[in-house]
Amino acid sequence: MKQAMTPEEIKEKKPYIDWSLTEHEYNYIADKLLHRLPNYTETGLFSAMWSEHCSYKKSKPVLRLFPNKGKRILQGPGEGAGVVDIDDGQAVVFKAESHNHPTTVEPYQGAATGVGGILRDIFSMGARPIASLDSLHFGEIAHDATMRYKAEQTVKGVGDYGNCMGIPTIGGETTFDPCYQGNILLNAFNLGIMDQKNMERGQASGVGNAVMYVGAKTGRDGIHGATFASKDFSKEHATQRSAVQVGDPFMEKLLMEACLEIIEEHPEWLVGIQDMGAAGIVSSSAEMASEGKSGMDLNLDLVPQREPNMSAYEIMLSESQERMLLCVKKGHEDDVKKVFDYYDLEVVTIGRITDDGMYVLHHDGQVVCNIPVHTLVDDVLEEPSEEREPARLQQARQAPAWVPEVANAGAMLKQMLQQPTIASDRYFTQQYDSQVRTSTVVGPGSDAGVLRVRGTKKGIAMTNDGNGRFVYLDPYIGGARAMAEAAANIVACGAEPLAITDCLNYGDPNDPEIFYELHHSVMGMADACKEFETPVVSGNVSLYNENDDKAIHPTPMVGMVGLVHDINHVIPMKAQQAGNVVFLLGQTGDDFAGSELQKMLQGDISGALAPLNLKDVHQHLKKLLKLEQDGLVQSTHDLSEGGLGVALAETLFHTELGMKLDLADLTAAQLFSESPDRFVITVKAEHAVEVQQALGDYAKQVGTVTADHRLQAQMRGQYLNENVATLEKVYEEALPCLMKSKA
Amino acid sequence: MKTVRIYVTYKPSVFDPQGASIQDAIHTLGHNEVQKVTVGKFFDVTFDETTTSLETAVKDIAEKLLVNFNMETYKYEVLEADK
Amino acid sequence: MKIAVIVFPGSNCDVDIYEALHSVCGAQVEYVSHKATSLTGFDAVMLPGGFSYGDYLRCGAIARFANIIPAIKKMASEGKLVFGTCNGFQILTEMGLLPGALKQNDSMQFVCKPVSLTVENNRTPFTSRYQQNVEITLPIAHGDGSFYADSATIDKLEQNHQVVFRYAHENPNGSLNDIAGICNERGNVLGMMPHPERAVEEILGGTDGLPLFKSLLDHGTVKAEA
Repeated sequence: MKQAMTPEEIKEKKPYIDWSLTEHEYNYIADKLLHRLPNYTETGLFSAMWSEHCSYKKSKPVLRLFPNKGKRILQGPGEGAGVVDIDDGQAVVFKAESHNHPTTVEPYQGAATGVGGILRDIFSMGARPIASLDSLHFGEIAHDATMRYKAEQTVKGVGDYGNCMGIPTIGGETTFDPCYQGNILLNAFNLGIMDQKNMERGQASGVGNAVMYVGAKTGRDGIHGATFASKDFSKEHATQRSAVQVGDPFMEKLLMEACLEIIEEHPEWLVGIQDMGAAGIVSSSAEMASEGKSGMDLNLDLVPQREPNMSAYEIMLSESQERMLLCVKKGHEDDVKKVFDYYDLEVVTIGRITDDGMYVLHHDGQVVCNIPVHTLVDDVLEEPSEEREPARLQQARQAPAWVPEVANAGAMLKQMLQQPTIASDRYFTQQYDSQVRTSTVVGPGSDAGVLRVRGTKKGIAMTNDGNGRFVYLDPYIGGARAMAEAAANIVACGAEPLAITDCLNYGDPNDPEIFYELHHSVMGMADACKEFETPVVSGNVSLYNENDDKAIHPTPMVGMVGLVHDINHVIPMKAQQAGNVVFLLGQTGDDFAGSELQKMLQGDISGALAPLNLKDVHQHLKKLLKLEQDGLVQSTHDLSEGGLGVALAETLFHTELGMKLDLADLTAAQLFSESPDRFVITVKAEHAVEVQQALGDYAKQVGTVTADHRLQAQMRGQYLNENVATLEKVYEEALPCLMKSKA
Repeated sequence: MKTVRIYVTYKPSVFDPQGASIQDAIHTLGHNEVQKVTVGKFFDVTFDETTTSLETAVKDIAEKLLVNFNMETYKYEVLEADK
Repeated sequence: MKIAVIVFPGSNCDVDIYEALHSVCGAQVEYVSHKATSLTGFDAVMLPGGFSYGDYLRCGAIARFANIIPAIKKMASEGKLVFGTCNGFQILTEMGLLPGALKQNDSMQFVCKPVSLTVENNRTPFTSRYQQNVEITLPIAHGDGSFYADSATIDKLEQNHQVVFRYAHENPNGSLNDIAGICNERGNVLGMMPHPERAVEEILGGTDGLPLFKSLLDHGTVKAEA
């Protein structure tokens, strides 16, 4: 680093604008908060802490719409991750986090460090991470070798990190759409489990208590990653590789074991613990001090450094991975050190807690920062945003709906099953260790992943769902549908929805139309959260997902968690036995706007979405769950991309069974309509009447499970008759074939 | 100080899937004249001036740690004599 | 019978093998740190799967310098049972208790899925509860599981019936002779890439791994060959 600028030079030359601090913010900090000019280091700290990534200054007004309280909620947003009561003195801790920009620039490391970051969020709460999910949105891979490479590397990054950590990746979603061609989305979800008494917080308090630095040394990697994530992503940034960090899962495994050992066995030594994530030491330490209403005095010369001659600014903003910050009670520093020594991890006391509320940094014998803690964390100016309904929404409401005709339902089904978004993603998911820790009851390829909780009868179900197409066509309904889809996936496996986390992936919010997308989709999600009684306990916002001025589809990802009361009654997705009765739940309409069929036939999506009655959806979910818990349902599969046709086929894959159905009131095209709030369930013949009575108009008996491996259905004017083995072959081979193609 | 670069590769008889796949990719670039690609790894090991027998030390390090003789082989070169 | 599960830095199937033996089979099991130097009092030792030392350099290569290694070798030489799965198998080859080496999968990808195996030798203390040549299904989860040895070694393994498990139908990693697991000449050291500890409960998808743990619990020490 060259000789730092003087405060006066900073005021004059405005380098902070490159660091994404506005002139208005700079002046406010100087005039209203500090009553002096900030120096070079301080300006750098403000620009990182006041970035959207750290402060949520743009999205905060919107995030307030989310409900975050409930009878099972022990800790809502604000900490590393949310905490939910699952009875017996136990709790689950979960969160999802985006790592879109790093993954777009350097897919392998971006994805790996995305997983690493979310794991630290979980174990810093005192929970042992027990399962991961991912949500991946790629551009089209046909005829794009670069995107195939990026997809391959992203999956490898997720897999290598989680596999090495010994944490199973038990599900997730993968979609492909041209809107992600220049901006991949990687959302990593993790869930941990703990005894409620071990709950930790990211706080630092108690005058004289030690601030201890643990883990990897600090290098110059990822400096300004937080502001990097808060800028849009034009070609010029393709060279911004220095902002990408390199992950070391082995180091993280040791860090996790050491931290959990202290939390579980010596909680009395600890005041608080936090991961060093975005904006590195400054954000973790300032947030801990703010949470504990304390001051902090750190000596940066003591921070373990990987490179020589690092400036205070670089040390504070480095986003080197696999580091944690602990606040340790005075007198227990050596005890803590002994534990980390056993794991061969570096641990250093870098400072102390003070009571004056000041954030003081020493470097090279000088005080390089001396500002109130609250100016970094709590005084951030919220940015009011303008919003405007995108013109396309108005147009879509007026245009006539697109209703296709399908001449050959069987041929169309085969084509649908080969669409990358629909086809089996086993090629990707089998690169993840989905079974380590031997508790995976339902792994990848089902509606939701399910883990048993060892030593209890309970199970935990989890799913990640985001469909940018629906949100693009109608932010409010699309947001609500993302929630309905997640809840359907949880209920499909026999679990009761508990709570959600989210990743909100959008374009540049300074564009009023994009802010409208953000605002209205969150309104839709929030209304569904309230109706389903599934509060938001944690989450993350990723804005500026653009490439050369083109935004991604607004893609909020819902990570929902559910409780299985009896793990022996998990409901499978597959049909179980010939002779069982097949019910179709829900109304099938001409809902082709935003469907996979529309994308396939028209090359793009358009149209308006039918409104969704959240109250009805909730009632349907509750009734279905009750039947499942009463042992009346043999299999359940929720209908999503590709509609009924795809869901029926998936219900039969990996079985030796078939189905014979009467769907004479549906057109061939409606086999692929994506009306929400629908399931295919199978029940034993002797339970059919009871199930019909319980579900009433919501359910229609459409046929039976057969012993031959054929899918047969009478449609309006057509008879579908396909060999399931043939369907399964095209479904399984599509993605590997595309990934290995040379075109 | 002396830096020794130790190269470790599979023995010629062992199938090298990375090499084969990279060779494939090179051919799709149009370089059909490329006949074989071998992938390996190298280690730069820097010794201080107290080393009396560089060769013995390198041999020891390579054969006891860096190389698995069941499938790998190695060679090395002395890179430079620094100040 | 008391069994040790060695925990190396980066081991991550240690819990799984512990629970398979303890919760499912009711055996007496203890975790033993890689920093320990003695295994006195133990009758068998398990080297679990995972990524010991991050699998940096080569899978299993650095673990062989751990403090506990001489004690494991001593147990092997005394005829006590030594079992390694996945990373444990890699460590056993790197430390020289089993011949050959484990290369990167031919697909160059990590792969986690159930595979079919045949039990090629049921006269080992680890496989006595299986029928000879029976086909079983166990999960694999590895990136470097392609067994390799020179042809003389392979011939010897085959002649001595040291190939204990072989992939059936499909070879998931390119291993020579479809080898999935081998034992030493004496039969008291077994290494295999598949994970029997992940197949000991119906709820997790199968119990084909259970006979392996029950077999080893039936036996104590293998007498040195005359």
